[in-house]
Amino acid sequence: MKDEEFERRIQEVLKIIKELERGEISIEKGEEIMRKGLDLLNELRRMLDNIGSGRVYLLDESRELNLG
Amino acid sequence: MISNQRSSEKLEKVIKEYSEKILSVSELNDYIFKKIESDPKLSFVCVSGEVTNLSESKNHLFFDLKDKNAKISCIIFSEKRRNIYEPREGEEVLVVGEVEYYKKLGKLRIKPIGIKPVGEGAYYRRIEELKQKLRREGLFDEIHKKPIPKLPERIGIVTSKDGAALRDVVNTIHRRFPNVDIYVKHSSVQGESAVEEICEGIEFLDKFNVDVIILARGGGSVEDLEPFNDERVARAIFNARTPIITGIGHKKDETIADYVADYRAITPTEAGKIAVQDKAELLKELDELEESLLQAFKKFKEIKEQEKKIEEMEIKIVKQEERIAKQEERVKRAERSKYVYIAIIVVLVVVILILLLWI
Repeated sequence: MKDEEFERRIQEVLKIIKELERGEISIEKGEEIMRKGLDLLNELRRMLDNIGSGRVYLLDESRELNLG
Repeated sequence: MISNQRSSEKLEKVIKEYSEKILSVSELNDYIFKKIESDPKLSFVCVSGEVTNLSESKNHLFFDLKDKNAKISCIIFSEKRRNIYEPREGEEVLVVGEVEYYKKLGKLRIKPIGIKPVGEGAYYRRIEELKQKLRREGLFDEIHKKPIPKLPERIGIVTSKDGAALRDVVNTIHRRFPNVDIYVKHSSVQGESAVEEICEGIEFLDKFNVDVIILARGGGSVEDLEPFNDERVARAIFNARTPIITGIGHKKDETIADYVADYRAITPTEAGKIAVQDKAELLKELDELEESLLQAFKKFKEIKEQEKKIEEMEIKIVKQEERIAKQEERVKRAERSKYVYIAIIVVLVVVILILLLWI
């Protein structure tokens, strides 16, 4: 199930935003976590794209259904 | 092959014999209408039965009157409704009225002139009793409701492969999330084998490792929806480890399966909407999150630049202060030197004066 993985990454990005808003870290550290946040967002987009192939299978006949 | 040929020949013979007597549909319906209208027994009947499939259209009231083995349609026209008792779904009633043949649709129906309630009907009572029993056992309790996953990868559907409900569910799911995979387990959704096939479908998909199961069926009469009021279907839903969404009939159709399910959608289309989130919306949310991240970083950088400027200014101020302190020291030193020179000059003058006086 991708629910937890997805939610965990979203929370990580939110945490990074908060840390940047607090501004207590060095500029180098800030740049580093910002890049990490962008990577996480790209991972999230990839997760959505890799969920499946969008096929409809009719199990009783082991064939693909085309309802288009 | 031979028997087909024979029956075809026989049919041709009959058609030839009746060629003079072939009727149009209107002629046949006219004939039946006259027969029924002229039968005195049908012009006034008193029938007992259970009310089912109650509906309203253009202010006319429609329902079926049924017993264990048969049913007949009834209609109360809008202008008559004021004077006739309005029955409830599942109520046992006595209907007094006239049997009419509706030629346009070739349909027999009763036009009640009076209705007397007798009590709850057997079917309705049976469903109510089952509902109470399952409620007591806790099958409807919220505590047993499993959450519907937000990002299902595999969705299972139990429904008829030929029904409109399947198309509605699949199209809705793929409109919202085009690349999610769907696994369909065919099942009859009405009739004798439906209960068994629905139970089998749920059990199969539960083991097939799908993330969510949709149990769907399009609209139909109360009798058509009967399998979804069956105890075995209710228990199959309850025993499944996979969350189940029901989308059975229309908004008004509420079955026992709906009560046990983890989520009751009011139609098959609604079930598809509940099963998946809108991917475009999710991507938009990620874009917004990225924008927030970039904005936060921009502000962070601005703060850091301001901090750097303040630091540089502080250093400048310190240097300035040091310079001022040095200059002050120099001035003080110069002041001190001035007094020394004056003292020396005074001493020299005094010495000169003493020497002059002495000379």
